[in-house]
Amino acid sequence: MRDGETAYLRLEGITKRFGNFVANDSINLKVNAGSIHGLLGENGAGKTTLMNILCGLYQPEAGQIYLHDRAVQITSPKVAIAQGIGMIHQHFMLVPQLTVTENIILGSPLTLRLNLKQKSREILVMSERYGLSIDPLAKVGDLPVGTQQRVEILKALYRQAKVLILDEPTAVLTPPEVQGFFKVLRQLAAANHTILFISHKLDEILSLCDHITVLRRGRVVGTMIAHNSTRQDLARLMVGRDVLFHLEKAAQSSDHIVLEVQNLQVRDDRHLNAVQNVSFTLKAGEILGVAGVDGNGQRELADAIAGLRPATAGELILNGQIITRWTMQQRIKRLKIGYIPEDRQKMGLILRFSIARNLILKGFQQLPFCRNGWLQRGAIAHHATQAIQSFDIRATSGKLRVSQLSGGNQQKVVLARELSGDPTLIVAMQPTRGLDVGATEYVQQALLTERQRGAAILYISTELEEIMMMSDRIAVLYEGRFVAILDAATATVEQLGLLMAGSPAGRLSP
Amino acid sequence: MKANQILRSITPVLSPLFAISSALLVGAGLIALAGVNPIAAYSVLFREALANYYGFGTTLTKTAPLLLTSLGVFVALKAGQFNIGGEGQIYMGGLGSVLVGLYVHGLPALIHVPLALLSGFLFGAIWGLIPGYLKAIRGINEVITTLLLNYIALNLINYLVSNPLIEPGAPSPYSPTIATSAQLPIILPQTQTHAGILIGFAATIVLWIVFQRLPLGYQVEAVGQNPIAARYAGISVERTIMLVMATAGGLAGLAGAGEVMGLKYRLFDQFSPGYGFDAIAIAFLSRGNLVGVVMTSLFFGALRSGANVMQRSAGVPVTVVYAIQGLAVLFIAIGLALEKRFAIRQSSVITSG
Repeated sequence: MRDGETAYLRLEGITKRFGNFVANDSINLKVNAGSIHGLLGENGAGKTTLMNILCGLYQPEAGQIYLHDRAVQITSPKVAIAQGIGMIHQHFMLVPQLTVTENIILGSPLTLRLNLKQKSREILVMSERYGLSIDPLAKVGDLPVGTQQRVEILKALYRQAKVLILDEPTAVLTPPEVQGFFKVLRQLAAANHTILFISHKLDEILSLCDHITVLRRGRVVGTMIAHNSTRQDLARLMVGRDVLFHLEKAAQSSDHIVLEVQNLQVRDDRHLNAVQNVSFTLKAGEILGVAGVDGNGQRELADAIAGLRPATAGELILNGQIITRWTMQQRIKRLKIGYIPEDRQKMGLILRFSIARNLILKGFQQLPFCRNGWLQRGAIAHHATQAIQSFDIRATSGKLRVSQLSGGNQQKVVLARELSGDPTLIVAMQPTRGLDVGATEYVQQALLTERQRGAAILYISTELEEIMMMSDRIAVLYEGRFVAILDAATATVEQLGLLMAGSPAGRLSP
Repeated sequence: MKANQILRSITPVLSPLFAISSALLVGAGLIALAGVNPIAAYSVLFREALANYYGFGTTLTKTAPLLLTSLGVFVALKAGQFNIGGEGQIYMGGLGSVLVGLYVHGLPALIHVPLALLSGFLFGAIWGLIPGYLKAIRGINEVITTLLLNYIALNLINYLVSNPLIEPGAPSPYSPTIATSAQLPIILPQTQTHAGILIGFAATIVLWIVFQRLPLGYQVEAVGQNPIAARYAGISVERTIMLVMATAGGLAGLAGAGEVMGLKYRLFDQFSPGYGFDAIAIAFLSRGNLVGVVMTSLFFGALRSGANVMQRSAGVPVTVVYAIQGLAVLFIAIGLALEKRFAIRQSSVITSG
């Protein structure tokens, strides 16, 4: 960082411990006024802790925070707001039943008269000034996710925030929305706001930020100027070793059709059609990627194939057998389907069970775990020991509770369960969500190995790059329909992005 | 980490002990307020309840329904269901057994007793299955339904023993006595201690085997810990909940059957002095630990058994005992809150990022 530039936000030697674990180890950070500073790191690198210190949720054991060269003690979130630090969380802190205006003024100092009309006008003016056009009277619950994020930003700005801290803000946006969002952030920076952008996505950080600080295991391992750095540099700093960005995979060759889906229609929990008229075939050794913005029917599609949700129309044919009306229990007993659900903690694992007990969640009524009606403790423990070894689960024993494992190791437990017994069909839903680079690589490699073995894989993800890297063919899901199925080798990000956003433009080219 | 693991493994034993001893301590203050030496009062209470042959018999007699009903609450809790309906299930169980005891004749005791027990179990099971069905299929909160079903059962029994089942010429509502072939044997001579306590111990052992060794126990715990993950793994959460609630009701039903077949030999209006509600406290105090259920049931049984003597000889009102029970529940809640705080601090170590 050049001298002479004023650091608006400066951290010196921030240290935060939890027991013996050092989450932040004497962190130094300088963020210039009017600049966008990226904070990059894997899960568990200490990003969230640092951010929670900045917004007053945690108190550091050592170190000092300076705002405009003035030492400040951020003892509570209230103080953080008073000091002009605004936080935009990954999960929005909005009340869906209230209007935009009501949400924005929520928590601001009490006055005797509410005067919503005038407040709405103020907010409208403010939103136009920052190019964040919004209807102040709209109900937040009715707004698309991208717009809700604007409300969060406006809320921070309304409270006179000079520093904006954004925690993985793009996770919920489509590629076109991300571009729009970046434009807004650049405008805010130009208006002399200071932005701390937290992410583990290399490309985003590189294209948006002026400076980048990389955290690893609670320490700053490097601060660099964005336009002088490359993905490779950043990834190496972040992980501590070289990272592969391209996965090597042999061409798919089998002609054996494993799964055939015909005109599938599935309803969601509100009994609306979430999947409509979806048809595709999936061959052995093939990965069909399903791209799409979250909430376009992905969950319902995956659930229907796994048997959790009934198909209201259409057929599912697995290896020539019509399984549309088979129950989940039947499918588990007689078919080999592996299902990696989107939320491992909620759907994939029982956190308070041990690793060994999680591994038998699907097979606990069958050999070798259950013999003559009795659970076989020896077989269960032995299976756990083997799985820990072959899936490289970092745990000392199978008796360890799954809640004590890191996200990556938890996902390995799910993989160990779902990939055991050589499934012919694997439905993987967001299998790398929230995982760090190392664990992501592991999961992807494991799935590619399964592909090599001849498994047919439906790979559902909202991360375009991941889809493009893994898939042989890519289907785009928009409002419950497959709007296109493209060859992964020729599809482009732009084309997929447009299709995901529902624009027919992407469909023109093959 | 090592010390933590040890701490974690002994907390299920430690926290009920903490709760009970704190409750006794505060109870001592209450006794002192009543103008009695607490040490003297407690020594009378526990000497009577545990060290005296007849008193110990009474302790076991009172423990039997407490144990069976709290096993019912315990089982439901394992599947994540709050069974507040033990009291009503006890009454239905009593009804089930009395019907077989009154209207089935000419059977040897070896068949009549099991048949009456089975009938009590089934009546209780139906009373558990109703909220189980409503929860699993209709999504209605089981706390409300089990609680309300208590009153339905209570009033149903009240009606039955006041009208169709009343013994002719009875001064207060109760049924005729059941056939002797349907009566549970006394196991401690000269006391009222009937075989109900043995049924309680047997049920405990069966449940221990189910939860330690059988796939069913695993399935129930999986549903209780994370019903969504259980569903994703192909377990029928609905069926599990219904089965568990029926079993829970059945166990409480056995408690009611024991009271009728072993102690009263008739069906009385309001024959349970709130065992169903004590059972909730017992199940929560034992923190998912079967040995804890047995020990806490014995403790509550002892309190109830010794209380009267304490009142007579030391002049301490019986209500102090209820206060001690309530305090124990209060302290277990405090213990849970403290543990949660501790656990949050622990987990933030692992997941902070």
